[in-house]
Amino acid sequence: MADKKKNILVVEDEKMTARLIVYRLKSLGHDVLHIEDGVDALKWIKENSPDVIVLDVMLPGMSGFEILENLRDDDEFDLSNTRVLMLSTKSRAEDISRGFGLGAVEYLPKPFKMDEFLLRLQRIMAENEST
Amino acid sequence: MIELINDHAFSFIYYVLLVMAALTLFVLVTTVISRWYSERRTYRRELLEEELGEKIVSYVSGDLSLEEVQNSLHNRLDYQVMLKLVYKLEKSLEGVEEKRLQELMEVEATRDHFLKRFKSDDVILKAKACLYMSRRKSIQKESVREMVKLSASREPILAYAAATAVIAHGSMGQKATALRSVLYNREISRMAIGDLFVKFSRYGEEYHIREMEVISAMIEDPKVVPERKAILIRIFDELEYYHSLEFLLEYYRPDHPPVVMKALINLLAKFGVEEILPDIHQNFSVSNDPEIRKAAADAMGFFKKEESIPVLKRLLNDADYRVRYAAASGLAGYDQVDLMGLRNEVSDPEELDKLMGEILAEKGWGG
Repeated sequence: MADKKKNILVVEDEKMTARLIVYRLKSLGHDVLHIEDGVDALKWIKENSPDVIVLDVMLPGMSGFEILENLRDDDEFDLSNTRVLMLSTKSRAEDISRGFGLGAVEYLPKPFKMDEFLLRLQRIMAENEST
Repeated sequence: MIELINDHAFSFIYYVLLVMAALTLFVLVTTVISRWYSERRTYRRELLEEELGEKIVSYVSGDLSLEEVQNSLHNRLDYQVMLKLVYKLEKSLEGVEEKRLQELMEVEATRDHFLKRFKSDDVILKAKACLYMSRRKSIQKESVREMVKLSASREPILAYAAATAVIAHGSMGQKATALRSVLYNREISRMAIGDLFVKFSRYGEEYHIREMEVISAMIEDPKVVPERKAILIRIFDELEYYHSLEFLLEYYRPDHPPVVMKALINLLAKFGVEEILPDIHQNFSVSNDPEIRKAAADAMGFFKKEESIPVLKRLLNDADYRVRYAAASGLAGYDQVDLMGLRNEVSDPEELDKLMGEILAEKGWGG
């Protein structure tokens, strides 16, 4: 059971990866929603301000980078309350720094091991609580 | 005859129209039915992926028994979907969960299903069975020998799948034979070849000495076409086989085909072999092939030697845009080069301004 229940959005179009992430996070007691499409995800984020977003870069509709750019440029949305963990097969230094530059706090190259993913996610959630 | 046509003209037109209407109706109905059938099949498959995916995730997480997953597998489609889902999941799991996934692949019913398909004459079914076998812990030696033969198939999908299984289970000799067959097959894509060599490396020894020797022998093989040799040279780079340098230096000759030469220049520059600079200045920078001139400009930009500056300045006026871009990018990396002063060296200063703007923005030096 999680120390503190979080509202987590998983934006991932690769179904099996998403299914595994959602299953694990739900079994840890979090509230988890999965959205595959970038445009739908952006709309949902603006309306619900989740605690954590697990965000894939390559998405149908709108990329993960574009979602973050849009949130950054939206004066009515405060991204500092949301922790973003980016997932991507793009693991070049410029992609990683672009993700961090846009507000992500973690960047995990694909393919990744589930244990590593959970460890990083727990770390950023713990950091969020301490700040 | 004309009289006959005149008498029956109306009936004749009527029948032609009737036949045409019937044909149109037939085409319309079959289109609707086939569309409905295809959508139904896609829907069924998606539904199955959803249901089976949930079960497999629960199973690997320890919340569902193996028997319960097994009971969901009834027909060919179930097994196909299961295999697809397992492939997607396996990279994310380790430890006990990975072992559970492996157990699912080793279940007798699963094994029998794919072994039956391995004996089939259908290329796709056979290829799928090969891919399944590539994921098993071990397979019979006889099956490996069979798959070495299949890797020489003219069917690219079967050759690729068989080579994958040989790489997972074969001896070094068998792996070399399978990879060579795949290299000879022009139908197999560059991406598939790259993927096979990544697997070859992954299953290899710690320092990849023997793997490097196998790839080197393939580069020297006269039956391997230049395009494929270039792929193999790039694979040395991708797999970080730095110990291939000795072989590459021995193999290096300025008279290789352009595609091979380009790959060699790129890699030797990356390895920091400055001995190729005289050839770059005198031969490659004036080559008839723009790809070679571009590789030469990239290499000079990489080494950043004083003596390359005049050559790079000359290439700023090259006939090929990519060469001009590489030369400008190379010169932008020199501290001692006055970038504004380069405008006097080129026939199109406006293009140079644009190039430099793009290059500086790309390197994060602008603004």
